[in-house]
Amino acid sequence: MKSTLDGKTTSSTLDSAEPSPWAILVEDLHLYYRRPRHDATSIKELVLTLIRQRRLESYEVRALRGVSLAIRQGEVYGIIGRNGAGKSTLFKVLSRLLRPTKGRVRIWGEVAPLLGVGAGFHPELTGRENIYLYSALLGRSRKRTDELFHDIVEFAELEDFIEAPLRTYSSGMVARLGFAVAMAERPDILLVDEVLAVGDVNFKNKCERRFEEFVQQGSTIVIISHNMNVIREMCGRASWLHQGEIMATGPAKEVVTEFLQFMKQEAQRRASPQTKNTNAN
Amino acid sequence: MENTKFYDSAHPRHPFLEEMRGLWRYRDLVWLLVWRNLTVRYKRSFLGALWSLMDPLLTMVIMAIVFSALLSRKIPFFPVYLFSGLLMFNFFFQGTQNAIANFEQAGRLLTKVYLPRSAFVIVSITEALVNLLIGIGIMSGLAVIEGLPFAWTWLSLPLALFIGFIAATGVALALAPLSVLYADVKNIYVALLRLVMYLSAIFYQVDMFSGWTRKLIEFNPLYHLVLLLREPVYGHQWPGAESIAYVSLFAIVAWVAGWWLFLRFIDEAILTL
Repeated sequence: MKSTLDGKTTSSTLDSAEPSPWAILVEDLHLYYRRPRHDATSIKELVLTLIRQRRLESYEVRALRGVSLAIRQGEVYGIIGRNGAGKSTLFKVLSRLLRPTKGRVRIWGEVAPLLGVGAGFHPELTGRENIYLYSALLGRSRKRTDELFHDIVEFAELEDFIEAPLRTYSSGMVARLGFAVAMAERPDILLVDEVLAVGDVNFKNKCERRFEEFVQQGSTIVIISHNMNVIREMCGRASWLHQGEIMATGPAKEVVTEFLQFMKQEAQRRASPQTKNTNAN
Repeated sequence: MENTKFYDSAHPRHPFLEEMRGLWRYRDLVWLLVWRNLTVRYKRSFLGALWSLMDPLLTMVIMAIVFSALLSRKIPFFPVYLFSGLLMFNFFFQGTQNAIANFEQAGRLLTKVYLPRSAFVIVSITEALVNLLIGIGIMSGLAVIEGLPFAWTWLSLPLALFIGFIAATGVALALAPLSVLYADVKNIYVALLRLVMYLSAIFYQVDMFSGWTRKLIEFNPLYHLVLLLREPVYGHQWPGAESIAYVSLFAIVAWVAGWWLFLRFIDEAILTL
């Protein structure tokens, strides 16, 4: 079920910064980078390689090959695929951390990544200090963080611990704090990479309700996950990425089904050589 | 109609301008990180913030004891002579060294959040600058105790600090991504700079040497950087125009080469992390 980009036009009239029905438009995105063929990790090894081989060879990694996506404003969009399919690379391109080698990416709105547990947090600083640090990393002004501070602490349910150093927190508490900071403000586009399974049921429900609030208020959410239930329940549409190419795009439930079918066939194919042997015996 | 933020990868790109714009936009973050690093370092230590003052002071005391037997007869106000040289050199040495050492950890954050890539280098050098300012504060107290008063020549210090900042930033930018790609860049740099320290006339006066040793010292830009701090404070002289020109040239070359090398290797370094 290979479906191409919607019939909608992607003409240059969308170049302006006026609001658009689209949130993210990815057109024929290719992301290649070169890795050195040598595995020198020190200058000494590098020089030795140069001497032995006369030149430094490199090979090309084609992480993304002709990926196209059209994500509308307000959609909850899923991206699934096996490990190594290029999901993280795609995430980085959408976060503007990597530039396309070929193709074009256009994004309307500010992209906020939902970071993994405590990236950017510092264990010696207090919860309060880490809130300001993480908020600054997300580009929020100090004044804005002052305004949001109370909500953040409340959402994370850490009123009694907020002045304690982060190293005294449990991993669940750290995660709650991270989520609370990231989701304190309605983002234009929220990028979620695998970090949904944290906290107890109550907290998970709170997070889901926040997501829903954001969507109602017009946010776009892009979820990359291995958890098919999450994709099926939360996403309207999804794309399946495999070895840098989009294999399918469409309603989330259908794409998930296709993907699971493929995985099952893969597993069977890998298992079958042995069963052939045992049958021959 | 309200304008939304818009990103188009097809727009032509000026990496250097982007970094500059990014650094300006995230300037609050830079200050926050400087503050964070300084407070964290001293949070759990017994002496707390006092340690940032203790470290150069202790080094100076030890060196003064060791070297004064040899040289204090020849160099008046030896502690101030020593301290002023040490402060400036340590600013450069530790600033660049920390920038390089911390870049890997900082780089991991860069693989997750959109931040100006040079921010962490700027943070490390700024941190070292703050430490230098604290050190200059102590040194001025020391100078008064030793009987070496203030002079108008102290007014040239901001220039010295500015040139030092540019030079250190350039060198740190040049080496940070490379140190992520090749593990021994840090070690080579530290070894090299230790050698250079002995050629910077910190513990002795340059006219105690002659011939090619002396030429080597005078060729060393860090020697001249040290002079920019020591002449006004210790010698009550405005730093020589030649020294200023030489260090400024070094700083400009370091700045340009640093940015070029940084922008050339940063993407590859981040991909490795």
